[in-house]
Amino acid sequence: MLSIFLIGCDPWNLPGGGNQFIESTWDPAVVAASDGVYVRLPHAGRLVRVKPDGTWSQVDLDGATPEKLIPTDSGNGLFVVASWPVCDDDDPLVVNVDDCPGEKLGTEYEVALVQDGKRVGNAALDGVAPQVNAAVYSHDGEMAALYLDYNGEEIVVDGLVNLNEVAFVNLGSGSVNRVAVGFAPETILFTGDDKRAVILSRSQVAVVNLDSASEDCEAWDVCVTYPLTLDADQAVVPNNVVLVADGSYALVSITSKKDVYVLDLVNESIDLLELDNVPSAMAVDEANDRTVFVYDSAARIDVVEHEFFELSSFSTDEPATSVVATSVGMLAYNDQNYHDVVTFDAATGDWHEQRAENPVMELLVAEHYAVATMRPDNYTSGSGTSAFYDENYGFGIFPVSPVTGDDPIDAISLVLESEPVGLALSADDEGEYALLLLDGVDTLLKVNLGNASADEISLEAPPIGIQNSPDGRFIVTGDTGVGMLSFVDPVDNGVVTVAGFATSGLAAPAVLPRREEKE
Amino acid sequence: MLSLILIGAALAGDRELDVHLSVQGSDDPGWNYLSEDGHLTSIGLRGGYPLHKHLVLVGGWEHGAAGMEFNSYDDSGDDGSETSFQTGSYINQFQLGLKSGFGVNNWAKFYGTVQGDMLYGIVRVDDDPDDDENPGQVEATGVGFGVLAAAGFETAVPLGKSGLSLAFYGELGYTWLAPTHIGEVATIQIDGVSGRVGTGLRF
Repeated sequence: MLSIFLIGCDPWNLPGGGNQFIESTWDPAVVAASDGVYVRLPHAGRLVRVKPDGTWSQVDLDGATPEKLIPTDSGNGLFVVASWPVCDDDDPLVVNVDDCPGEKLGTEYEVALVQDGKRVGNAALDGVAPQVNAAVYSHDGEMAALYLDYNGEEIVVDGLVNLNEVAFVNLGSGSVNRVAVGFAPETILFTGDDKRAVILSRSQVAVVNLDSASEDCEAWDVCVTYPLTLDADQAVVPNNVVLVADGSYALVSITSKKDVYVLDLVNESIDLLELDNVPSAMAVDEANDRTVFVYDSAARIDVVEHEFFELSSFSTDEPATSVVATSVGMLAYNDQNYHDVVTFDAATGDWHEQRAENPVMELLVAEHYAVATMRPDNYTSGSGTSAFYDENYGFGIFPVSPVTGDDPIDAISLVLESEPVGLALSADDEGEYALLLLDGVDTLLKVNLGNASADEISLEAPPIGIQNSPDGRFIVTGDTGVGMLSFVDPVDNGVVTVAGFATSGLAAPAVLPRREEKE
Repeated sequence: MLSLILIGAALAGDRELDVHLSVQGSDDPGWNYLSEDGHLTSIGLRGGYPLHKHLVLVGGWEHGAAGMEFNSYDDSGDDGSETSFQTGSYINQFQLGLKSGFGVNNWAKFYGTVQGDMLYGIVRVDDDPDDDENPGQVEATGVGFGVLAAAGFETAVPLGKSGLSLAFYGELGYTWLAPTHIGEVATIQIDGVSGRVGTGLRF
C-alpha cells in the first residue's frame, strides 16, 4: 500500500529491493552514422539506433547479439559482427537460452551491413568471416574492404577459418567478393581511381583488380604480387604503406627494418630504398609530390621525391614519432618524451619549430592550427611555472604557418583541470575551434583557437568520449548506466541530450532465435 | 454432518468485500531481473456479488511493487568504470471471474474460483534517484492478459445481529499470464503458484 501512496506523491521515489551485478548495459564506443547513432547493448544483446530527436529503436538483427561495430567512412551505415545462440534440441518447450541444456548450446556468427536502422537485404552478408575487425573504404565511399587486423584479441574459430581473406563489400547492394591474399593482411589501400586495392600481408604485397571493365586482369583477381622476400623462412611484416599522389607507386615500410620497398604499380616492378634508421612514420606531401620519413631514434627528417626516388636528409633538434600533412607543409612531432613540434617544407628542407610544454598525447590538424592534448611530464624537473605545467595535463595550440625564415608564431599552452578524454575540431565563419572533454568534468570546452578563449557547454553527465557525426554535429557519450548521448551543435553550442536507451531489453529473457528456420 | 454441509451451502452466496495479501511466484527470467526473489507480493481488494446461491461474481484489483539496484561494469575502455541505476516495478492486476463454494457448517466453507486476469505494469528506471529532474529517468508501461484458478477455505464470524459477518480466508492456486512487454524495457511473465490470505465482510 505504501508504494501506491509513494507513486501518488513522487513517482520517482522507487521502492528499495535487491541488488544485481550485470554485464555492461551499453558500450560507449558508439557509431555515428548519417541516420543516427548506433549503440551496442551487451547486457540486453541488442543494437539500438538513437536519433537526435530523442527517440531510439531496436535494430532487428533476427535475434543476434551485436559483438562488434565497424563504422563506415561515409557514415552510410555500419558493419555489425553478431552472434546468435543455437540449441540442438527440438523440444518446443525449449524457448529461452536458459532452457537449453549446456551441452546442446552453441553459438554461430555472422556479419551484417546495417543502413537506415535495418540489415541490408534483411540478411547477413554472404560468407564474410566474423573475425573481421577492420575496414578500409574506397575514395568514392561505395566499396569497403573488411579484414582481420590481428591485435591479440581472442579469435573465435568455428570449423575452418581463413584469416587471410579480404571481403570487398558493395555498400549499396551488400554484395560480397572475397579475395584470399598472402598471410595475415596488415593494411589495405585503394588507388586514387578506386580500380585497384593494394593489400599488404606478411612477406608480400598484392594488387587486386576491382574494375570489371579491365582487360588486363579479371575483376576480384590478384593481378600482381610483389614478394618482399625470396626466403620463405624469413617473415617480412609490412608496417605502413603510402600511395604517391598519382597512385603509380606504393611505398611500404617494414616492421623493425630500415628498408622501404618502392612498388611500381604501373610497370609491376619493385625497388628498395635504404634508410639509415627504422622509420617511425611516413606521410606523402601531395603538394610537393614527396614522401617524408621521421625517426624516433634520430633527429632527422628524410625526404624522397617521386620521380627518381632520391633521398634527402635534413637534421632537426629532436627525433619525431609522427608526421602529418597540413595546409602549409608537413608537421612532425613526438608523442614520447620530446617537446618539439616541427613544421617542415619538403620542397626546400627548411623547417621551424614550436615547443609543446608537455609531451603530446593526441594531435589534430585544422586549417590554420594544430592542437594537441598533452600529458604530465614525468621526466623533466622544471621549476616555477614550468614545474606546474609538468605536473598537469595540458592543451597546446600551434598556429600553422609557412616556413619562410621568419620565426613561427608562438604556440599557446594551457593547463587542464584533469585528463583529457576527448578532442575534436570544428570550424565556422568566425574561426576554428577545438572541442575538449575532461575526465570527471560535466562540461564540453569549446576553445577558440584564434584567442585561446573557451566557452563551456554544459552536459548532463561527465563525458567519456566525443566523435564527429556525419551531419556536422558532435556526439558526446556520458558516464551513466542507462545510456546517455549528447548531440552538440558546434555552431550555436546547442545540446540535445538523449538518455535511457540502454534500458532497452534490460529485463527480458534471452530467447533462442530462428527456431522456426531450423525446423 | 450432511445436514451441516447443506446448511453451510445455503450461506454460500453472500455479498463480499475483502482485502487480501497475495504472493505470486514465477520462474520468469525477465521478472527475475526486476524482483530480488522472483516473486510478486501484492495487496488487493476483492468484491463479490451473488449470481446464484452457489455462484458469486468476483472482481478485484491487486497492486505489487518491487525495486532493484543494478551495477554494471564497463570494461571496454582502458580503465573501465562502474555505473549503477535503480528500477521500480509496479504491477497492477485486475481480475474478474466466478467463485463457487460449499459450506462445511455455519462458519466455514471450501470454495473454488476461476478469474480472468489483466496486468498493467509500469517499470521506472532512474540512474540518479537523488535528482528528480535528471534525463536518465525512463518509464515504460505494458498490458498483459491471463487467468488464475484457486481453491480456498473460508471461515466467517457473525457480527452481532446486523447480518454482517467477518470472514477470514486463505487460497492457493496458479496464475498464468502471457509474456507481457513493458515498453522496450522488460518482458515479464507471471507463471506459477499463487496464494492469498485475506479478510472481509459478508453481507
